[in-house]
Amino acid sequence: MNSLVMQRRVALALLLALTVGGFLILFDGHNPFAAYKVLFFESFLNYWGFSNTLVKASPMLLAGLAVIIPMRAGVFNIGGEGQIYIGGLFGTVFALTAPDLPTVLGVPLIFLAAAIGGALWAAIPAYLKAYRGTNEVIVTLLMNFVAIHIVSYAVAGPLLAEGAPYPYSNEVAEAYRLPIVMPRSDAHAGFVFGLSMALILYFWLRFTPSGFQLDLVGRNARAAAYAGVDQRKTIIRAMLIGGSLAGMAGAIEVIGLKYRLFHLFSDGYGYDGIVVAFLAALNPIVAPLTALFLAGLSAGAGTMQRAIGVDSSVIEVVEGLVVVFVAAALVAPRNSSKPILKNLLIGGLFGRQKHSKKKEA
Amino acid sequence: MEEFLRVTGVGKTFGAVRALNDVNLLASKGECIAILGENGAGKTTLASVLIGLYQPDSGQIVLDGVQISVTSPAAAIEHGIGMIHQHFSLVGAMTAEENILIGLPREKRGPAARARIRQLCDDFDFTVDFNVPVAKMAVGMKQRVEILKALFRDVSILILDEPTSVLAPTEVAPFLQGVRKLVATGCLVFFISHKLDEIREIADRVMIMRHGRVEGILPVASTPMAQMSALMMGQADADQPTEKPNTKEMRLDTTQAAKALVVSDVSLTTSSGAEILKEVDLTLRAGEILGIAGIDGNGQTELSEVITGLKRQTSGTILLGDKEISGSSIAARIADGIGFVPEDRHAEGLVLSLSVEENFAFRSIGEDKFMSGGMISRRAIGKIAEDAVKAYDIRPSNPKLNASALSGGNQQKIVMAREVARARNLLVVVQPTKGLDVGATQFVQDQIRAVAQSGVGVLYISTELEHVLEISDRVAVMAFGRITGVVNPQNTTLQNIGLLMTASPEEVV
Amino acid sequence: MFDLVLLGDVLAGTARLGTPIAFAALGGVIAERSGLYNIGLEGQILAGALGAAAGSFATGSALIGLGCGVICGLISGLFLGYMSIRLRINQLVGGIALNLLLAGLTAFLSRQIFGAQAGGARVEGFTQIHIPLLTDIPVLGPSLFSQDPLFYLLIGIAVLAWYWLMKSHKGLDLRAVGENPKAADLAGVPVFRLQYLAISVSGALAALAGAHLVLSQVYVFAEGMSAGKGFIALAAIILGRWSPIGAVCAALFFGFCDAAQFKLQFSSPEVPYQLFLILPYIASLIALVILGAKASAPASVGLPYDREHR
Repeated sequence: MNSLVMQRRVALALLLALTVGGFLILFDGHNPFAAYKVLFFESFLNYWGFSNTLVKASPMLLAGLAVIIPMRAGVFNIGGEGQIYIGGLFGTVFALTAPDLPTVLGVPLIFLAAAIGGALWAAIPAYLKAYRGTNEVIVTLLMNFVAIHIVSYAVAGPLLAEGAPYPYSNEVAEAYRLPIVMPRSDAHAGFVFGLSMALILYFWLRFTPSGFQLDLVGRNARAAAYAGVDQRKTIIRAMLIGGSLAGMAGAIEVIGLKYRLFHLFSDGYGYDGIVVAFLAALNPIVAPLTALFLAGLSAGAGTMQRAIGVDSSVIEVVEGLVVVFVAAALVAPRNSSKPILKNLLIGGLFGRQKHSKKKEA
Repeated sequence: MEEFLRVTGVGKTFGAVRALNDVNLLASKGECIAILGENGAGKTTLASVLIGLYQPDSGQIVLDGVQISVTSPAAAIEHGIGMIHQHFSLVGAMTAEENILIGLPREKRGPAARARIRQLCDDFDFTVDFNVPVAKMAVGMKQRVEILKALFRDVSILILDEPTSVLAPTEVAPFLQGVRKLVATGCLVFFISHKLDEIREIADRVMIMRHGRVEGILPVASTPMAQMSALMMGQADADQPTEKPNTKEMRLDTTQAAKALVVSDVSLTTSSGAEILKEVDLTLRAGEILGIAGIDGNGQTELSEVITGLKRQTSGTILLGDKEISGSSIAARIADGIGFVPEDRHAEGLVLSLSVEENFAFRSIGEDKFMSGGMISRRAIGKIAEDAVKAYDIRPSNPKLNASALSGGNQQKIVMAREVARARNLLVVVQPTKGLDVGATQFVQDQIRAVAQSGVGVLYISTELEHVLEISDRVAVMAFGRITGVVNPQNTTLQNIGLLMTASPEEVV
Repeated sequence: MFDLVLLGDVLAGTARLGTPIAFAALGGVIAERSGLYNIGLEGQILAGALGAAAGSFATGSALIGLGCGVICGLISGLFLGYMSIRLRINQLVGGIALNLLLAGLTAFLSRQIFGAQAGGARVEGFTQIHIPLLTDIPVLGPSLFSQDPLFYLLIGIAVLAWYWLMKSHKGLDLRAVGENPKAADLAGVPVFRLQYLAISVSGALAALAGAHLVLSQVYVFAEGMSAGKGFIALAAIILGRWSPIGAVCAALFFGFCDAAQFKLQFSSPEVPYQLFLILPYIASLIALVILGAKASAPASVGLPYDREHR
């Protein structure tokens, strides 16, 4: 299957998902075309709407990269959510303990603190995977819950703002707040940061020996060992990178948007990241597009409900269908027995392991 | 002869490759038919069609006068067709009995099943431990469990795929004995093999396949071996002189050359205490080809890994020339000019999802020749790959293709080209001709000779004894992790090597 | 800190809060033993909850509601099976997609069925069955013998599932599929049929969890009412070592911790209640690390089986 056919299939899958969603809208008694027009116009072409899309896309993008890099080394990090929480916690604690630093020093240090937090959280499953062979899917999943409860404890206890009606921390200093890229809106520089990360990671994987070797471990661990690549160190490196990316997403939510640490401040962005990574076929440079697409859908859903009255849950259905149909589209038809997209979990990587066409002995 | 199985016009295509092309066959009960052919001739594909793993694109299968369609392995079992695969299909976590009973209809699993399994064991003189999970069994016993599984299903047709390739020489004779009994009970046995002597011993007729076609089905007793191999290789090849030029004559005398590799007193013990290598001593001189013979799994693979740095020895030293490399990393050894062709090119030697050109670079991507300005240079890699593709005549010649798109022989050429280019001081090759056809084998052997000719020491590790004897200047024999003897292939006997290969640990000590 | 009355309360809460997790975990065990991950438990709980609410709302019968819930679970299980077995979509991605899909679909449909004031539509549910005499046993009595019928159903199903999986012929075949589908296939096991069976049953069991939420706990459908129970069930599978009985025990332990933290929030606000919420996850992690997951996890779980794949 060449890339043109693949693109056509993905386009068809998107169209199909939107069509099914359209019938649901029709069933709800509204005009699907009008609804979709509002949805996409409001998400991407309207100034305020697009600013909302950007706000949602920035954690999704970083969380997506946090899945992509470990997955390229053959490790499935579904712990993005927990790493976001711990990163947000570390970033907030640093910002609140050292509130008087100049912006140029303070903001990078907050990012660093958040990255360290996320990386530490990812280091546990990484170590267990590399040195004890423990399944990282399970460990990262379990640790998500632990992280959420730790943050819940922190904002209800030690970090609780005085007189707060709801568990949240004090505000971070104004000097630490991320600049707004679209004046008068909430759209902060988080997406720009994520975009630059995506570019750096793309070039790193493609043009540096260490990036190439990380990819090698994911493609064929034994061949990587034969090439002298230390698989354990690579797994740990990949997870640390993933964890820091997700951790920084947590910090961005705090210093970019809410300026405080809240109980349950990440609304499943870590899991959205899996979808972003998957739709991007594990290519960092495609991830910004898929993050924008997903963010646009969910940002537009609310507007659509207010403007037309279509229930916003329809968009969740569409999102689910997009994943199902795109996944199905990227798997070759049954009879060719050459699935282009191999299974994520086991050795295979999305869209990269072409199957042998050779005849059998 | 009463007709039992009739296969007519069976074809199967994978992509652009015709794996089976108009295959016809007639067979009767109580007959053993050997299927002979080179790798890729279609033997396993035909078997897979018969047991329902692959669906044929065309053709008919008639069993006992009734046309059948074998849509799944379950359907095959219903028709009484079973197969013992080269790679066993057993559930490691379960016992022999559980493995035998999986998938059977309820009425066959009753309390009587236990007794019947043991009865079958007695009938065929099989020793099987019923108390341990299959994962803990030795290869021979696993194979017996596989055969019991088929027998318990009352197969009337049993396909054996290279059954002796996994067995120790001592296990082969009892195994063939068992097959003979099976045939005597009226079972139709297909025996896939490329070992002519085994075919002579066990088969009534031999079916020779080539390029997915049946070249002939002949009675074994009255067909000379030369004719079988001629059919297998194709008539064109058979016209070529089979005598190879005596390459030994052309070889340099290396007995006085500098030492390329000295392995002294190397032992390897696993964390569980198993002694994989025991006090191995080897000296390899520059320009020499030192063969390592032995039955699979006697420490040869680990020896290659210790020398190339993939595994670290428990004790002992390794010198490359004058330089001690006992503790240096794989990357350092690559930089020291050690080339390594590993045993399993799919799992280790190549990354099938990378392009051919990337496969030339992946093992030492940080090397200057692949870099420019601190970054990987895709252009430099492309250039190097293009040259190698030309020099080795790798086909298809497009280095942008994925390595998976190439045939086994061409894939091995990539590995050879890459490692030969790197081997300034030492080349370690493990099973370099495994699964290759005659032409590709010849090519690989020639390359190895040429490398040695240029003054590089070559360690040639293989279980294919005839190849080892043909190419090596000296042959060291390994058994149970030890070197049991070093012989000159010119003046030794097969019996002598056989003795060394099977020397029991007690005798060795 | 804990007097006996409090303990009795917590134990009663354990059964109540643990039952839905246990149903979902049982479903997960069956699926994973057949070699399929079911990450869609969360969504299937919602499907079961909506089905149960709608069925009971329409007919006024909790039992019919239960049936409707189970049917919704079966269908969602079949759909996940279609994605995993037929389309060979990555099973984790397929599960996540199913969760998204069902979260949206149940919210959407609940508004179609119950109208705008979705929360207001109370439905018929089950009442607790008090088993005479046994109920009066102090501490344990109310928690074990004064539960709703679905709790007893859970115990029955758990024992049945254990017997079927570990002792029956079909169970042996199913486990063989989860360990080595190719070997099972070659031995004549209808691999795909068994996997479809397992994943459908898995969906139905997850749906029972949702039915329990609606019919035995709150008597109303609420959007997102699964509240992560499907994910917690995934942890219970691990803590329960892929055994039906073990998974139910692990789920009840999760329920116990949850019940304990509720009590603790009121009785001793100075103790961080999150400790109790974290406890089961830490226990699962420790179980994973100390006991090792490899020994008991089905060897081929998550790997799609393709007969012609070489």
